[in-house]
Amino acid sequence: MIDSIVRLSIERRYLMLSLILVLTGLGVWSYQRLPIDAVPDITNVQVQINTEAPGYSPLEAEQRITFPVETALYGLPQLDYTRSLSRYGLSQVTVVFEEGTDIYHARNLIDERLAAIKSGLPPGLEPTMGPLATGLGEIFSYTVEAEPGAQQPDGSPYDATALREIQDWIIKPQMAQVRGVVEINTIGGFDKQYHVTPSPIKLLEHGIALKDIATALGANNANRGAGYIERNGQQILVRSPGQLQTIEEIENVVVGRHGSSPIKVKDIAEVAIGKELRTGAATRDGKETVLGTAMMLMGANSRAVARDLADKLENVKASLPDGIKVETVYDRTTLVDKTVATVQKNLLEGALLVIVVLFLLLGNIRAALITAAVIPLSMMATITGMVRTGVSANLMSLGALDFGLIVDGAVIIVENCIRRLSLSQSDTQLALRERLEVVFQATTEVIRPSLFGVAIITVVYIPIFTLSGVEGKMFHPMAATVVMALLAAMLLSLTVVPAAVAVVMNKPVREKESGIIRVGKSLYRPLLEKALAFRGIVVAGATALVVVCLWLATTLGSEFVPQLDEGDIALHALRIPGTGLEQSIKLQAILEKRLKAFPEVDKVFAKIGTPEVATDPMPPNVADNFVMLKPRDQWPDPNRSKADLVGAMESAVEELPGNNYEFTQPIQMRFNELISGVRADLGIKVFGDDLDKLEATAEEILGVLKEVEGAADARVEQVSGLPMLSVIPKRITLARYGLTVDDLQDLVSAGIGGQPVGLIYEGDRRFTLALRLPEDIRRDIDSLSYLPVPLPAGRYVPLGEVAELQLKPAPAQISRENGKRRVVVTANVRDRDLGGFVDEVKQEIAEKVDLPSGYWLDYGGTFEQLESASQRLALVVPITLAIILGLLVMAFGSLKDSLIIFTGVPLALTGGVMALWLRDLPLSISAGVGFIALSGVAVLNGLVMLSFIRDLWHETGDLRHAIIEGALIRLRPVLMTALVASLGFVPMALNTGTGAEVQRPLATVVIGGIISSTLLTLVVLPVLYHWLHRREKTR
Amino acid sequence: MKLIIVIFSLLLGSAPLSQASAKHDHGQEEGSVSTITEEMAQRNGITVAEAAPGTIERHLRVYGRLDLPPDQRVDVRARFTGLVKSVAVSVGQTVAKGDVLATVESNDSLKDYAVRAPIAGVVQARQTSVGEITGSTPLFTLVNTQRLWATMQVFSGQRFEVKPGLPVHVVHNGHRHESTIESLAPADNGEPYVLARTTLENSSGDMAPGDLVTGEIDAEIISVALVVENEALQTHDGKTVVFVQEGNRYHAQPVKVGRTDGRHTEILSGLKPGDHYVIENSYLIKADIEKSGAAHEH
Repeated sequence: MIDSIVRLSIERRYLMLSLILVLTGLGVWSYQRLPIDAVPDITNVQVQINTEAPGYSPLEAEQRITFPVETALYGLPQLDYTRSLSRYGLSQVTVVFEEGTDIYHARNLIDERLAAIKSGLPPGLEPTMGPLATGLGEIFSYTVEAEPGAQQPDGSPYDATALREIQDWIIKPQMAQVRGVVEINTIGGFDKQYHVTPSPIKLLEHGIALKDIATALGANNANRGAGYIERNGQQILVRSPGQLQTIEEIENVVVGRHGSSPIKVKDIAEVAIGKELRTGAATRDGKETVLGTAMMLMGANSRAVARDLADKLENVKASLPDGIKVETVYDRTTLVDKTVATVQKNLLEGALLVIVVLFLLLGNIRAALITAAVIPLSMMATITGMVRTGVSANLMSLGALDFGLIVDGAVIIVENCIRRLSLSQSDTQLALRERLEVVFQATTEVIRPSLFGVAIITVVYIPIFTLSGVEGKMFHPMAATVVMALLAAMLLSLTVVPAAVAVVMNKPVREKESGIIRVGKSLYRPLLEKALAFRGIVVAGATALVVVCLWLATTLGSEFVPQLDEGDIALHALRIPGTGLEQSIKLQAILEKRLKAFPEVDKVFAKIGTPEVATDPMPPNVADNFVMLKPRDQWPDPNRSKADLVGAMESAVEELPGNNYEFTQPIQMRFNELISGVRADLGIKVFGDDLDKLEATAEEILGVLKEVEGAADARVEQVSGLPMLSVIPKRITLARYGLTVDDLQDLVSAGIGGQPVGLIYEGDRRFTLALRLPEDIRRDIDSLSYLPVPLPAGRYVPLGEVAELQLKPAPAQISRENGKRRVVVTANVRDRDLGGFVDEVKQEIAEKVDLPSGYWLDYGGTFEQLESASQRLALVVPITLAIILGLLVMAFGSLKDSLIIFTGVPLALTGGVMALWLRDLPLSISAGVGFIALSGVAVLNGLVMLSFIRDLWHETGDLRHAIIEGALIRLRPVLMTALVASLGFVPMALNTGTGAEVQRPLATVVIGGIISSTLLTLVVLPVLYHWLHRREKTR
Repeated sequence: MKLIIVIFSLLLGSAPLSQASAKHDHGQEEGSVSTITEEMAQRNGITVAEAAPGTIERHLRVYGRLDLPPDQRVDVRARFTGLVKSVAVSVGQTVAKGDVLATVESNDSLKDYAVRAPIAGVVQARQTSVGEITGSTPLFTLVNTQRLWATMQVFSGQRFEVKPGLPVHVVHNGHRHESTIESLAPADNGEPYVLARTTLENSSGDMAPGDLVTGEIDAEIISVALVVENEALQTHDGKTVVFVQEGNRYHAQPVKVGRTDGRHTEILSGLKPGDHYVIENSYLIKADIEKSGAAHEH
């Protein structure tokens, strides 16, 4: 079949060449649609269900909202698990689906379930699903600030409330229109509210209850339409406007009467623009600010969306009041551009190097160009394939593309064609027919090994597809892209390459053996002869090398998944639970000034607590800081490493009291927030009902865990610690005064938390009208027990009389998983194998910890993933090896030869290990992928070499001669494939740009490995072949 | 990492090597001491004071209304039934004791007699006019608001601490009037509180009966050996502590607290006079000491 394809390609060569145009067109078209991002998206399929419950404590939020929502989700198809957290004012349930679930379908199902339970939730609470975005979604952030001295129209300076109003009603509506934006999330400032703050004394004096004010305000704040009247043929619409519009109007609402004189709101209360009880704040460079973050729709092109957002923000500026400035503080485009530039540079330089090498070694510019043409063509095909399969272009997916590897097949074919053409038409021009025949012969002669080679390189990528979880998400695109590129190149070398050779190589070809090859051959022949003579030493030396490198590999450091340097720094600033928002802002100001003092830092901004849409619900004691660095050329020392800078920052901020830190990077931070789960080696989850018992059990387990050898960083998830003031009603006393528990709770919640009683409209803008006690009374918890509770007929009873006030710590957050409360004990493992450790822990806990009935344990953590991954790989890797061996046997019909070729693999790996060791790089999955690619190349090399030697041996019957001559003839293609493959990776190995750290290990391994593999293929393989076949007669 | 080793080792055909991965170590800080440089303390607004003797003023807050004392309100009647010949005052007029309010011609003697003001005060109401025959109904109501009673409701929770003679600050409309509790009397109608009475001078006339007042009763004013500002108290490890400064070191000092008045708290043990303790931003030191436990669980 292959023969007929090649023949067809050569016969219909112009048709084949015109396919190039089709492919190019397709590639360009696809490129427009290719989503480009910096890193692959590793978010799982999840939906967040947020329910805002103003005033609800964690316990109430859990009982009233989280539980019904969780229960409603039971039995959703393809549900993996649910987890939830209940905090002050928020219930968040995260529903994680199995991989591959259609997110739109999943959201639909959830919506259906939520609709069914809505009536069971407390009135006014509405569970909503989080934005349809992934961990890569936060692509653009901006701050809204007032210039110094800027004034509002009424002459007062802009405050946080005014800035928030501008963000909510001027900027956000415009930004939200940008295509591909799913949400503009705001944090910081205060949502403007109109506050009616009655004085308790005056209420008593006038015999008015809070309830009366609420009723009065509610009943005096509406517009009503009243149909229309026809008069004299004209239609007149009727309406009755009654909405409150100004503070003055609110003040004049009548709430009661003394005889005939009305009691107005202003007689008993103050009306002013007040501050909401906010759950989050934002700071920038030490000052409070308002921060808007654009969330990108899942699957949109981040570069395009971020660019559009930046353009839109420019437009928005024209519509802002004087003295207000908006500034972009984070723009994903920067990172994506830098990453794309890195990838482009690597690919371009690699391609150029490959062309140069081809030209130098082939000595024929046309041949070099034909081979090089495979690069853009297979790239076009790959891009088309990526768009088709939904793989986005990013550092990982494009990171392993080595054009040297891709053109290997083509190199072998073109090289052979040239050789044969130059042999057959050294001086005279061949007739077309003959030339085509020569090309056909030359192609088919090497097509089988080269196809097998490409097939083998493709097959070695299979284990990568079995990676699951985060690693899978990171490396699947890489493997997919490489496989697509290889397959495309394979097809091209079958069709376009022979066609092009047939068309272009119409001039007499004189094989100018280039100087390099001549020198190479003159060195190679004596070397090979020596090696054949001292084969024992060669084989022993090679074996020793493999053993040494094996040992060397175990001494290398290790790194699970490589980290892309995003160029910016993010850090969590953690304070103790219970820290208030205002206190956090104060701490934040000092922290940010400290960070800003670094000359490398451009901007510092932070989100504290939970934003408007709770995409990342943090308590007020946690702040996400973003440190934007200046471009490197503006640094005092442009060569300062980022690790060094982060280290300096870490020690600088460590001096500040009251903060704990975790350094990370913006995208990484977001991924961590979304993926969540236990990030330690071992996580023991204790499930049960009672929080105290859970905590006690967890502490007990912690005690046992700490005793087990190898345990490190063991800790219990912090559960309690939020100070809470409980107003516990005294039922009997309440009844004595004719009050119900409800009356008391209404008073406490309305008075302290505030009670929304309506909306105030200003055009489109609408603001909450709320009723609550004056700030000085709310804050003074010492005299809260004196707060008068009104009774009928102007009497009162102090709060302390009818309720008990208790201040004690309470759970700051209640976490649940799969519908049950849980507390997690985590530990890492040092200097011990994970499996044994986990087994011992399980046994110890079973023996020593007595679990209360109704409580159970679940063991999880990364050990699980590692275990399942190793199990899977332990199965898949041998199968893959077997497949490769099978392919080799198919190619050779000889197991012995296949095994000889196979020895090339460990020999190749030695170089990879040495290269890593020399560059002081750790083993990582990136490096692992490099080893995988390397095995493929090594096999390919051996294949090409041995198939030729064998053919020659069978022709001549002289083994030694066949080996030496065959090896010499194959020197050029072997050197060429090796050189192009390794040189193609050189820019990647040396690059220091953004994103290079992910590709560096891979490239280093391949280069090192190919050098060793080439040398050893050239020397050891012939020796082994000779050794193993020396007693055989030619068949 | 294990993964790589597995790939790697399987490719090489050797047995899998097991090796646990290295993880980031969170430095665990032990003890209840925080070290903060002077400059940093200043920048963070940490202020320190010397522990010293002081007074604890404990107040109880009660609410009540202003009443007229019974002797300050008089319904003036005509002693003998008769015809009202003239009326000398009108509503709102101030009268002195003994001023003539009206002249009535007695039905019995047919002589005119004067109805005089029994107290000085203001004519609050006039229920008569010239030509009317007086009956048992009062002609005038005189009130004198020079002195007012503040009648405050003391609920059962506070009752044991309130005694006659205790100083009380009565707050009316933002003005403080110093007074003492004169009497305690049970409320009528079986209401569950007692009424504490005190008399207020109202010479300026800015108070009126029916106005609501707040009473701050000095339940206790005592000098104690050692007090700290309430701001200084924090909880740490389930105990009440103050943070004691020694140079750049601040340590959590558990203390036993006694009485408190909302501003100051008596320290019974744990602290010596002369110790420097943190007042403002003491939370920061608590935060610093406990920060190793601060983590962000997602």
